[in-house]
Amino acid sequence: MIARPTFGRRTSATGDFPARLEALGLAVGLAEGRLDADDVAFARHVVDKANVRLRHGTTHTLVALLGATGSGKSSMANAITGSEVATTGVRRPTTSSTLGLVWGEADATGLLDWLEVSNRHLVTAGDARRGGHDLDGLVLLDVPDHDSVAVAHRLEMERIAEHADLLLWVTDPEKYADEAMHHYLQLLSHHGAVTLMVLNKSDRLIGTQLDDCVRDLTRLLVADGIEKPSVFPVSATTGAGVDAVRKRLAQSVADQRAVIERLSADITVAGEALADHIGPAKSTSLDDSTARRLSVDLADASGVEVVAQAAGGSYRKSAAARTGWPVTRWTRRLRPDPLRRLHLDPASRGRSSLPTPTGAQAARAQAAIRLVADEASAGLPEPWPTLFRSAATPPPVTLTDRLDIAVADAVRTHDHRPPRWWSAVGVVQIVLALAALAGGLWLTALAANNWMQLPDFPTPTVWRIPVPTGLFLGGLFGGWVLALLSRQLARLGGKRRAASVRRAAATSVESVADDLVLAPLRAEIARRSELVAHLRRAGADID
Amino acid sequence: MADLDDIVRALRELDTAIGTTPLRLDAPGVEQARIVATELSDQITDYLLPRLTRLDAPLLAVLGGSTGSGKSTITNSLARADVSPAGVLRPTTRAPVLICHPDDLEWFGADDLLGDLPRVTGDGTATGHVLKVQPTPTMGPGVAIIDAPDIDSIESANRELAAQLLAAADLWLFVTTAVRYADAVPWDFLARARQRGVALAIIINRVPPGAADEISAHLAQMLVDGGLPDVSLFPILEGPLDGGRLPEAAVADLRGVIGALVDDADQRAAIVARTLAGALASVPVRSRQVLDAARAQDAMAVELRNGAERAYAQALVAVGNDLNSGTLLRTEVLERWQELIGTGELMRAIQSRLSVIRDRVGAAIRGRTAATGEVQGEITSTLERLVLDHADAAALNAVTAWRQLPGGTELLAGDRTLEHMSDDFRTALAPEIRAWQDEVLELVRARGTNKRNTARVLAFGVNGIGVALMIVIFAQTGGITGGEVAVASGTAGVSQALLNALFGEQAVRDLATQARALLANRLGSLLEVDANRFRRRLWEVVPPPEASATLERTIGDFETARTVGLSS
Repeated sequence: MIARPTFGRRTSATGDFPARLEALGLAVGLAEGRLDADDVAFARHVVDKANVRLRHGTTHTLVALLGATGSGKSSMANAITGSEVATTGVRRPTTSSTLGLVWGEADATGLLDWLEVSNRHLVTAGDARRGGHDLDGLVLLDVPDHDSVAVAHRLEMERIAEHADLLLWVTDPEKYADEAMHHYLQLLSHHGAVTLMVLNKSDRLIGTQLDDCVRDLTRLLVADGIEKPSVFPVSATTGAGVDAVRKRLAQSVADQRAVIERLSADITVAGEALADHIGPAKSTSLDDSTARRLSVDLADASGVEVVAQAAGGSYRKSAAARTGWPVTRWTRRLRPDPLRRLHLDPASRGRSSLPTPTGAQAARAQAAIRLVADEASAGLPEPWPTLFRSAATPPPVTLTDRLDIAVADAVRTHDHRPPRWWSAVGVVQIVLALAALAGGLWLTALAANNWMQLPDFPTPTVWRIPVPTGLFLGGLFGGWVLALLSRQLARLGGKRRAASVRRAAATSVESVADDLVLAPLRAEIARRSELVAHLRRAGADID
Repeated sequence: MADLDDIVRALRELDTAIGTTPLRLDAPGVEQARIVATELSDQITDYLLPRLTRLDAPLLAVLGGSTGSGKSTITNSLARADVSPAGVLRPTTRAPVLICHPDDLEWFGADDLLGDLPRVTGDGTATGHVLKVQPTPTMGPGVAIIDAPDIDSIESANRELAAQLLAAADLWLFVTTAVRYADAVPWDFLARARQRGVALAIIINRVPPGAADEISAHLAQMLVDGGLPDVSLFPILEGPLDGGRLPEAAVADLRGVIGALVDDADQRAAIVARTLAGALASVPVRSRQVLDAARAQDAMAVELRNGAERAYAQALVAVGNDLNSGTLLRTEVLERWQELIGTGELMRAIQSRLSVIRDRVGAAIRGRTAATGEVQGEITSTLERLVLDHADAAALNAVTAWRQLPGGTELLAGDRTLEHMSDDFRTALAPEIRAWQDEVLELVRARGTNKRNTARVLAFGVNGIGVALMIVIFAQTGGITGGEVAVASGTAGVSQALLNALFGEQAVRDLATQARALLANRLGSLLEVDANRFRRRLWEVVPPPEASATLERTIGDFETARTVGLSS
């Protein structure tokens, strides 16, 4: 069986503590405004607290005596000190404010100021049983209870428990199974490395009772989630077992690891609280087909088709004006150009007069954007679907404007130069028209000549067709046929023009989609991956 | 007794009313109200109803208190027998033990008092959710004692059972110790005792020799401050046990009090009556707390329902706007139609010459029925797309609205299917649109068979006319025509002219209105079906709206019955 990942993490985690702390700080920055506000605030608090605590150094080890009213916290403090420094009594609850007991010469003022503990006592050589200097650096905090009717005590205890390095719980055979205490132990189940349990009043248990009781308490601690709990049976009145506790404290003070272990456990808790919102680490990437579908839908919503048709129409109209029959083709100029009607002819500037996207088109665009975002957040828990959706959704006006400009630019910058065959056909048309005119005039002259009974000119003929008749009819017929032919050509050309404009506009739309939708979405996905990486470095467990 | 029967009846109704008010929506404070409701309901069935029907049953004293405070040792000492196991491992007592005189045994069958606790008799240790009944000859008749589990250990089952037992007691024998008496949890129970007017005595166990006066005085002061001024205190000094039991001297006072109760039926009746009256008086207060929570739930449910319904109503309005905007159909569709009826720019210029149009259009349609189907298909898919987009948006908006409302997030329970339209909606939509189109054709046909129109309609083909009508509906902007919608309005204009020629202007307007209304109806009921997913989710957890009113009425009825019943 593979060991629970928390095992390996917890032992090795303290080694790269600065890296973990930094990672959590970075994770907090990214989680801000994204994940649950309370969890983010807690993580921020942990980072801030850790930085402040580390500034005070590890010379001192803060040990908080925690426990129920009447379990003997103050008696424990006195037993460790060897003198009556803390008030004990039968009236419950006894201790109402925290007392700080400082061993050694090093100045703990800053630390106690930070803890806001004003009630202080220096354990001097005068205190009995002080022994050598093995406890130098210990700051023992006698804390009010957590289970009495005095709510202020509970708040003070929670505050101290949050800031201390080592949590020394004191309980007794009567209260060791109380929900009130185990409630806190469950909350602090990651803090097993800095949790010690003292079973006070052990003198009241006789024979096997003490062993049974210690075993039962150990069982409850394991059930609370604390691995390998240490339980010290002690009697503060007889002094039995106190030395073992002193020795354990001396060891902690000497190796100065409690500070890091405590903060490390805090980072684990905060990191896991944030990691709970992450879901599976695997982040979905956006594939090309998704991007393509989005562009198609946006192109559809931004009226690319209308524009393409107008470009085709404009081409046909210009072609007709240049290649139509010269006698009537001027009338074409009276008709409006479809592109100019949309304010999209090459000479125009500014916004087009494309129909503003209708509700149907806007709904289509929104649905397309949502589809992309939902695809990217598939399998992720809230808040990611919402975050991805809002990252991918540009302000509606911005989207409309940018799409409009993109489409307009694509059309305006498109090559609108007239094809060469237009001028060629135009020249031929003029020649034909002139021929018809010449033939007409000639025929008119012949008719006038005839009317005035003047002698006949000789009329030249080609292939037995009189030249003026040939010119006149040929010019007319040729012009008509050519105009018809040109119109077919222009229709084909218009289709090609429409297609190329459609392509150009689609490309512009694609870049807008990339800019306004896909790029922000990709950035958000990247931020999520970054957050996952930071949380992992901070020690959180993300599958 | 008739009056007590009224109270019993009113209580039964009240209990039923509380039962039908489940308070399942999550919101701040609801958890508290749920506990109040459960405890009240338990107390009614466990204690109030049995006690009201049998006022002469033995007095039931419940020995309750903290873990490790020595309840079992005291019970054993009072019984002068090892009836309940005591020990150093916490919590010791898991199943409660009832001791009573053998003659009183019949009163404590499983029928009514604490009816949901199965009874266990005989030797051995009982565990689980049972009540061990132990006939004890050393007990006097008329008084029974229950050794209850603790109120504050890590075993939550114990805590709940203890609360249930204390709620069924005629007399609380509350056990605490010298280190316990200022604990918060016991004081929560004492506050409850005060609220319910229970007869109460407090035993302080393990008082260090010499500290009895100081602790008794402090505790008495705390009791006065807590609103419990006349509670008897029984200190028991800490000392060696005698064969696992307290020395006789330590429990003498307590035994004396219980003995007096055994001897004096009137005193017993007075205690029973006092606790009963107190409990009855607390019922309206507590049920009002449930009522307030139920009202809050009703309001939340209304908010949630409105949130979802608003999203769907907005979707329906948006669909309607898009249908009436005149730009629903894509240009290609309209141009296809334009080609179909064979009118070019020339035709548009001479719209007034109806006969010409009629002839040409008629010819065009007759020749191209297949193409008509194509345009009809286009209309179907355009409509479908539009409605799907809006239905999807409606589902998401409803979900978003719920997320922002109290209780909404829990109701969604991470279920992402609600964020999209249902699959049923998707499959039902296309048939629904086709059904509407059939309806439109039916309208045209019905109009055609009326008059001389029949021949004309037949000439153009019903399908062609129907599509023309749809084009008019979707491509006309209600009179607004500008250069930008020239194609659309032009096509619609031709279609309109065609229809006008066939049916007359007023008839066409009626037809269009009718067809629009039919479509709106169909889409509306379809969206409604999708919105029902949200309503169903709500109905699963929210009681019917009249539940609160019923609860309020039963509270009033009970209060009347109680006032009348207890004053007589």
